[in-house]
Amino acid sequence: MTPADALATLRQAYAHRAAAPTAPGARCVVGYVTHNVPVELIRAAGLEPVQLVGSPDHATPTGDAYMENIFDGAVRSVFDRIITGAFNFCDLIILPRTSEGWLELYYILAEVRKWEPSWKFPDIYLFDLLQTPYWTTGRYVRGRIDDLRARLEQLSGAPMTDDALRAAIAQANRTRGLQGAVDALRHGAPPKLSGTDALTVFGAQGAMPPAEYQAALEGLLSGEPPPVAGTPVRLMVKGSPHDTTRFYALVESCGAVIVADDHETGARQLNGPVEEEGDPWDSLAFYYQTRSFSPRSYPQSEQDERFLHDLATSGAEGVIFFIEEHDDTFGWDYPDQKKALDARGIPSLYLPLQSYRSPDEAALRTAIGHFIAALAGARGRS
Amino acid sequence: MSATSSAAPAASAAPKGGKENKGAERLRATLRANERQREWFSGFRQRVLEGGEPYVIAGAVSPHEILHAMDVPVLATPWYSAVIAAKQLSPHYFNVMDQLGYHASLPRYESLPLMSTLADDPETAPYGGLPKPALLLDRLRGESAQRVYGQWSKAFGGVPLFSLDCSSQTRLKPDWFRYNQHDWEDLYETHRLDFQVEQLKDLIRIAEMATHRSFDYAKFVTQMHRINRAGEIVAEVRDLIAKARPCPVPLTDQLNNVMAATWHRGSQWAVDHLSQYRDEVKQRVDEGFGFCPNERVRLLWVGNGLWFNTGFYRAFEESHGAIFVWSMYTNFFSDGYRKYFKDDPLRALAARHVTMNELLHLPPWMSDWIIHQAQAFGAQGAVMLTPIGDRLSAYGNLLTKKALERAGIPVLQIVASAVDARLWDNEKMTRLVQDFIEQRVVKS
Repeated sequence: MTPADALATLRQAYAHRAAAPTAPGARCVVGYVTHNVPVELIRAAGLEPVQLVGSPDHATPTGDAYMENIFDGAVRSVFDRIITGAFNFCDLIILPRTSEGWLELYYILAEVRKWEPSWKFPDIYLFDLLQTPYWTTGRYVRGRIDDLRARLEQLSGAPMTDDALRAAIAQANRTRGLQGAVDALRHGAPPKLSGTDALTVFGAQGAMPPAEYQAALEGLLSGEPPPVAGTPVRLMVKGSPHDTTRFYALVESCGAVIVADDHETGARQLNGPVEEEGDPWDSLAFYYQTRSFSPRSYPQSEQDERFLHDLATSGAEGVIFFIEEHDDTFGWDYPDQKKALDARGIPSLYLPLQSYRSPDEAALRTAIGHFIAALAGARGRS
Repeated sequence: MSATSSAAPAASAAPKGGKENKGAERLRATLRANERQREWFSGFRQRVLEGGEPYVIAGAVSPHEILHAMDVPVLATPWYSAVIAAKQLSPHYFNVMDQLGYHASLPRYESLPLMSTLADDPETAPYGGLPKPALLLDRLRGESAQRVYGQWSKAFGGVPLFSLDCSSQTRLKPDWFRYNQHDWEDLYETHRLDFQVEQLKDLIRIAEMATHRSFDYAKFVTQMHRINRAGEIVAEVRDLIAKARPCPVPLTDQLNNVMAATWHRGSQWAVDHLSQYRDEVKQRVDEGFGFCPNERVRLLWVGNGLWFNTGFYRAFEESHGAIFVWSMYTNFFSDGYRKYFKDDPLRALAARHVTMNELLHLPPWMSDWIIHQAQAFGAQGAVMLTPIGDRLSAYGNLLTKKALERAGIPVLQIVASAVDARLWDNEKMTRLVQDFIEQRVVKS
C-alpha cells in the first residue's frame, strides 16, 4: 500500500466512524468513548470494539430535553445519538469515568430509559476508572478491570484467558508504536504529514479492525510521503478535544501546519506500551490508571511536563489553546501554561469559550490569521 | 455540584434587595450560632495565626472528622469564601481571577480562597490571608478540584495535598434517604466502601505525618456517635417545621443553625446547640408563631444558596404571602450525614462522604429526596437556582425539574450566579418569582 493509498483508506474510515462494522461475522459489538476504555479487554473477549464519537454537524434536539446545554459538546452529541438509536448496532456501550460529563451521561441514560421506555438503546456499562497514581487507587482499578472482564465474558459467553489478553495487549502495543512513528512524520522539517491528516489517522483507529489499521499505518510509513508544501508556521493545538478535522483544516488553511497536539483526540493519546511482562491484568490496570490521558489525569504537573516535552520535540513555533464553552477544566491550566510558554519565548493564542457545534469561523479565521502572520513575520526577522 | 459550593457558610452575607431580616424574629440559637463562628475563629486565630499550630484547609465534602479526632484545626473552604463574601471582597477576587487569565466559565465560589492566596496581598485578604497549612484535603468529584487544590499547594510552596479519589455508583437505588442511615453498605456498594476506607487510612497516616498529631480512635468513635445524635435532633426540627402551619422559622435561620452545627459536627457544642434550636422551634410551634403572618404560599428553594443575597428568600412575604420553607441545608445533616454503625466507625465515615454530593445533585437521587421534602413540607412550588459558572452544580437540574413537575410541583428555574453579585439582576429575578407565584403556583 502506498502512502497515498493508505491515507485514502484512513480518511475513508475516519469519515465512517461510529458506524456498524462491515466486516463479515456476527460478533457482538461493544461501543466505547474516548481512549480510556481498555479495548484490549474487548478484543480478548472476542468482541468487536467500535469507538463512538460526537458529531458537531448534527443538532441534538432529542437529547436537549433531558440534558443541559452546559455539557461538553461531545457528551451532548453522543447522548443524542444513543437515545435516537444511532448506536443500536452495539450490544453494549462502555462509558469511562474519566470526566464528570461522561459519568453524568451514564446516570442520565439510566433515567431516560425510565422516562422514555419506548426508546430502545443498548445496555450501558460504567467503567469506573480512577487516575490518582496511588497504590490504593490501583487496587480499586484492578477491581474495576475484573468487573469489566466479567461483564464482557457474560456478553461473549466464554471465559477470557490470560493468553488472549496478552495477545490483545501485544497487538495494541504494536498499533501504538506505529502511531508514534506516524506522529513523528509531523516533527521533521519540513513535516511529512499535516495536522489534519494526523488527526484523521488517530481517529480512524476506533473505526477499523486492528490488522487493517496497522496495514494502513505501515503503508503510510512505507514510502516517503510528500512533505507539506511551503514553509508553513509550525503550531501545536491544545485544550478541548476535536471530533472533526474542521478546526485543524481552518488553522492549516491560514498558513500553518499543526505539528503537535495536546488533547484527547490528538497525539496525547499516545502514551507508550502496556507492560507485556508479568500479570497482564495488573499491567492493563496500571496503564489505564496512570498513563491513559484524560481530563482527570493526575497530577497536573506531569501533564504540563509532557506538554512542554511534546512542544520541544515537535519544534512548534506557537501554541493555540482551543477551549470549549462551558469548560470548567482546561481553563484552570492555562495561566501557568501561558507563563511557561512566555518563559520560553513561544507565542500563544488563547481561544476560550468556543462552541462545539457552531464556532464563529470568521472570527476564528481572523484571530488565527493574525497570529500566524505575526509568527511568520517574526520568523522573517530572526 | 461542586463540593465546596454545595455547602452553606454558617453566617450569611448581608441581605441585598430583599426584605431585611427582622431582628425580633431571629432565634436566640441563630445569634448563638453566629457567635460560635466568631469564637471558633478567635480560637483559630490564637492557635494557628498566632500560635503557629498546624492546620488543614479542607473542602466541604471531605472527612473533617479525621482531623477533628486529631485535634487539628480545619478551615473549610466555604467558610473562608463566606468570610470573603461578607467582607464584600468577592468582586475584588473575581477580578483577580479575570486578571490572572482564568476564563469566565470556571467555577467561582470554590476559587475565592485560592484567589486570596494567589493575589498575595495580605493587606486586602481577610485576616491577612491564610497562612501555610500543614495539609490540603479535598474530594475529586469534578475535574476542577484537582486543579484548584494543585495550584493552591504550589502557591503555598508545595504543601502536601491529599486528594480523595471519587469512585462512582454503578446504580442509584431509588429513595436513598430510606436506606442511607442503616443500610448504607448495600446502598453505596461494597467495593466503593472498601476503597474509601483504604483512602481514609491513607489520609490518617498522611495527616499524622503532616501535623505530628496522632489519630485518637476513641475520640473519633465518640464523635461519630455524637454526629448521629445531632442528626436526630435536626430530624426532630425538620418534622416540626414541616408539619407546622404557619412556618415558624425563616430559611435563613434554618441555614445558620444547621450549618454551624455541621461545621462543628462531632462536638458536644453541636448537640447542645441543636437542642436549643429544636426547643426554640418547638416553642414557636406550640405558640402558633409564624414569621410571615400573611403566609399563603409555601415554596422550596432548590440548589445552591444565594449567599450574597439571602434577603431574597423573604422578598415575597408582604406582597404575596409567599415563603421559602425548605432548602437542602434544612435537613441534609439529618438525612445525609447520619450513619449508624455497630463496630466499624471508619466504614461509617466512608459511607458519609463517598457519595455526598451525588445525593444532592444526581437524578433520581436529587429528585426523589426533593419530592419527598415538598410533600412533607406542604410546598406548592419550587424555585430552582441553576448556577452560572458552576456546572457541577447545574448538571441534572433538567431531569429534577421534570420529576418535580410530574409530581405536581411547579418549578421556576432561574439561571444566575449564586455567588457573583456583579451578575445578579435583582429586579428581573424578583419579577420572575412574582410571576411564577401568580401564574403557576396560586393558579395551580
